[in-house]
Amino acid sequence: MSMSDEELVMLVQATRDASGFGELARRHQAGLRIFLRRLSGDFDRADDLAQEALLKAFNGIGRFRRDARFKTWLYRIGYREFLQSARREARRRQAHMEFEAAAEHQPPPAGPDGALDLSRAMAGLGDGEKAAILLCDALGLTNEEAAKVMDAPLGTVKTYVRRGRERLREAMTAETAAGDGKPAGEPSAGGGA
Amino acid sequence: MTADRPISELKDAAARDMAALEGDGFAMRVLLTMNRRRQRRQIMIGSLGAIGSAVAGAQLTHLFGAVSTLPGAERLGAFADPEMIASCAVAGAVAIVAWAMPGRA
Repeated sequence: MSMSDEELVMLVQATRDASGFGELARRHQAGLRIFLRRLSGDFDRADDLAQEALLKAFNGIGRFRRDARFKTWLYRIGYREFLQSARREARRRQAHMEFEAAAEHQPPPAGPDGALDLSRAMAGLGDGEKAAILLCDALGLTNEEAAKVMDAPLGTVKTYVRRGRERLREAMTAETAAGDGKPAGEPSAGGGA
Repeated sequence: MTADRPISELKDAAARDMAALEGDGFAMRVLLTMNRRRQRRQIMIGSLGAIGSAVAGAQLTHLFGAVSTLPGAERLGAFADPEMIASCAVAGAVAIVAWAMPGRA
């Protein structure tokens, strides 16, 4: 019979057993990478962040108090890695502002048949909205768990989820209408978080 | 378009991605990286610990040489011997290295 996450965490905390941690990593790496890939929009960078998050989780597993699911704690480390990386990226861009300004305004590539695909619609959301709907809608976490991952108040996360869904819907409705040749408003601008 | 379409598309995309990423060996690569970093750490701590202990061991007997001249040192018996004190200090340093080696510190 396979061990639960809780049992594996206790085993790794007691023995620092790498194979036990490997099993935890195997179970949760896909969710973590999906979260970070959608959040950053860059698969390679997301995988690097996921790897760093897993290594930090192993090194810091002694500090995990088991007051939340292991998955929630791991996503929280991943989210922090993403935020740090985004800040570094922002500083780098600041330094190369003129060059980057041109690239910044290029919209993400369109999906097949010109439709605004999901990635393109997601790109219009702020980081907080993106993270909240990814955690709650795509990865099945509760609002409370998402709040723990994002280290944000529950009310803020609920607002992010509601606003993120609305903006995603708006963006996709607008594109569908545009695809049908009907006049439609522009998708709402990004930012917000 | 139904109101829930974007959310259901997001869920479908996540389920597709999940299936694709499940068995691509990422966890194994992370474990290999983890082992490499652990080995590097062990080599580094081991080397520095060995060099430090050798240097300290050579110097400590001189440093603790003064202990046996202190008043009341004769009551400590063999423990006032500089070589004994130096051995204890090096043993303590080795114990700290052994404790830190698995990543506790």
